Amino acid sequence: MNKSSWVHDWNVDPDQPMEWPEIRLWDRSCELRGCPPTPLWTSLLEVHGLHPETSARTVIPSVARQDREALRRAIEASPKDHLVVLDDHPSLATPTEVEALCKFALELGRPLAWSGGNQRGLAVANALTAIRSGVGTVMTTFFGIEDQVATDQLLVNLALLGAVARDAVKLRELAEEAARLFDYVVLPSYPVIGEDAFRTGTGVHAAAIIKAEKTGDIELADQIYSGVPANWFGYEQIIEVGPMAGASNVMHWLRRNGYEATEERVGTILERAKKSSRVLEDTELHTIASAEEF
Amino acid sequence: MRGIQPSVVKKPSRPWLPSIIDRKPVELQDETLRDGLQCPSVTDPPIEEKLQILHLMERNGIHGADVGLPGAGPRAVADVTRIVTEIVDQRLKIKPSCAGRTLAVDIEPIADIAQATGKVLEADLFIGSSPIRQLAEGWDVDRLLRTTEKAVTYAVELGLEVMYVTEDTIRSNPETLTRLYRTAIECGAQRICLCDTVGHATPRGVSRLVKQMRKLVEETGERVAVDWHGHRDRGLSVANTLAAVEAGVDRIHGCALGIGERVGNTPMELLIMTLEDLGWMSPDHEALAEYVQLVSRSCRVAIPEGWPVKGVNCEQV
Repeated sequence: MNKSSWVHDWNVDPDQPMEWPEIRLWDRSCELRGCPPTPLWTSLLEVHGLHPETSARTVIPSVARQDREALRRAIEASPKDHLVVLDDHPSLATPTEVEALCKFALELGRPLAWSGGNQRGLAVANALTAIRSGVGTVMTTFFGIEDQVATDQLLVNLALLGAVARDAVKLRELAEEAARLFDYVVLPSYPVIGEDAFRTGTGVHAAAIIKAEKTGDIELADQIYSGVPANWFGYEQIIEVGPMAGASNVMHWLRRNGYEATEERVGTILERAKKSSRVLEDTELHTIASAEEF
Repeated sequence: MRGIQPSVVKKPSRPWLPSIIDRKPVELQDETLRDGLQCPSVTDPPIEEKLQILHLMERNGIHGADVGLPGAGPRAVADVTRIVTEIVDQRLKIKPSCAGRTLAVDIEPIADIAQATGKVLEADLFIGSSPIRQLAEGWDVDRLLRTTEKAVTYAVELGLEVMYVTEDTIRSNPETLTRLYRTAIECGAQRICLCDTVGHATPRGVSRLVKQMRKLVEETGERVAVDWHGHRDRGLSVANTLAAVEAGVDRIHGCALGIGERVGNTPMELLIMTLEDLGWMSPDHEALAEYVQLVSRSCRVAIPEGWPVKGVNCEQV
């Protein structure tokens, strides 16, 4: 099986190929946080084409609650040299609504931008919908701070959708500088950048990753249980040992840490893991693995 | 079917939303106590706290709960048995299910628990169906079909209701899915689950997949329900679930605080709040806040800053 047949991608409709307008992401993190950018941050934004614009703008708030006539009046009343920002705060819109109102707004022939919040977990989807509908400018912040659509999550999705080159997205560098600059604590559950993004302690998942690794194909191992390939963005898959682990998890850890994966050692560690209420720390595993009885 | 009905009261004004008033009900399935606890950062709570979480699921109007994977070992069996016993003793309406691989060694403990508690259990039997999984495992489609037939038939013979789950449905071939689901339905599966196991899906992909599988189910002529199960890797889980609802699924899965494998599952409270926005639910906001806060404390998971559930404070645990 060659790589092109690894995956049947339901996201891709051969009858309706995806077309992308010119995309501009306007990262407003420093503006909304009220802090000056560092030279590194400015440089990273420039490299990614994320540097903020200074266009004069007219913001139409609660855009999803405006009916056709109200939206038409608001857009036509704005000064001709203004960028019209379709703003979904407080966030209410679903992607279906975003598509409908963006297509309507585009017919009025004014330069448009999309801005939305994430109060329902729909910010990224809404922004992607706005972009595909033809509204190519989107206002973002890194990590979605100040309730905006997250620059990072949008970049990841645009890379996965082929709208931007994945090599062009230096996500780890951006994330590390953003966390420092905005004093942002990245939770383990944060998409792609969080500690858990490519981590599993589950036996079935780990076994499949390990089998894939044994083929020698790193990409296969990276994508078998991960919709976002870790190595695209500077990360790697991690296998843990915990209550949901199987023997594969344990053997993987032992080999990686220089221990012989004997039946006895594996059995002892697995028994301990099954009794635990959480994933075991490396120090705990070393203590068990290096015990004299082995 | 007990489910969430679209309300005839339109609130608030949604001028860009097409009418969904005639949409059939959708149910909520809570995966907090199974997929949720597979998150590598969570702590598996003691059974007393799992029971409290269960009761809050009931208070929040959640219809079903996957309460564990008994095949994982004795601790899992003990907890699942206790949870199901609680549902029976307290006459809770929430319908329990258990996850398991399509293997006798996972099916039998589920059946044992059903026997011991006197409660009919749904067995959520999963098998990897994507070409990438087949490649790594050395499986061919015939093997998947044989395994499916054997497992579903056995589970049904043991008195279990079967939800048949293909892992990584969103990256699986249509022909393979058609054959697998048909086989499962012919062997007695009452429900099929379409999964975004690896967090790859987009709303467009979900819509295409659900519509095609709905058509398949209709062609069988059997009364088989369709579930959607999603993950958060691309930040699209709620949007994907909405797309699944619009395309016609019967039940949608979520976890409290979106905990789950890797960065987690679709956040249940965001689903409930979105359904409220659409006029489909009138949740008890106090119960919803309690549910979120209890899972945060019990599983030792921080509530993200600005998490939009009324009455919930961001807690760093």
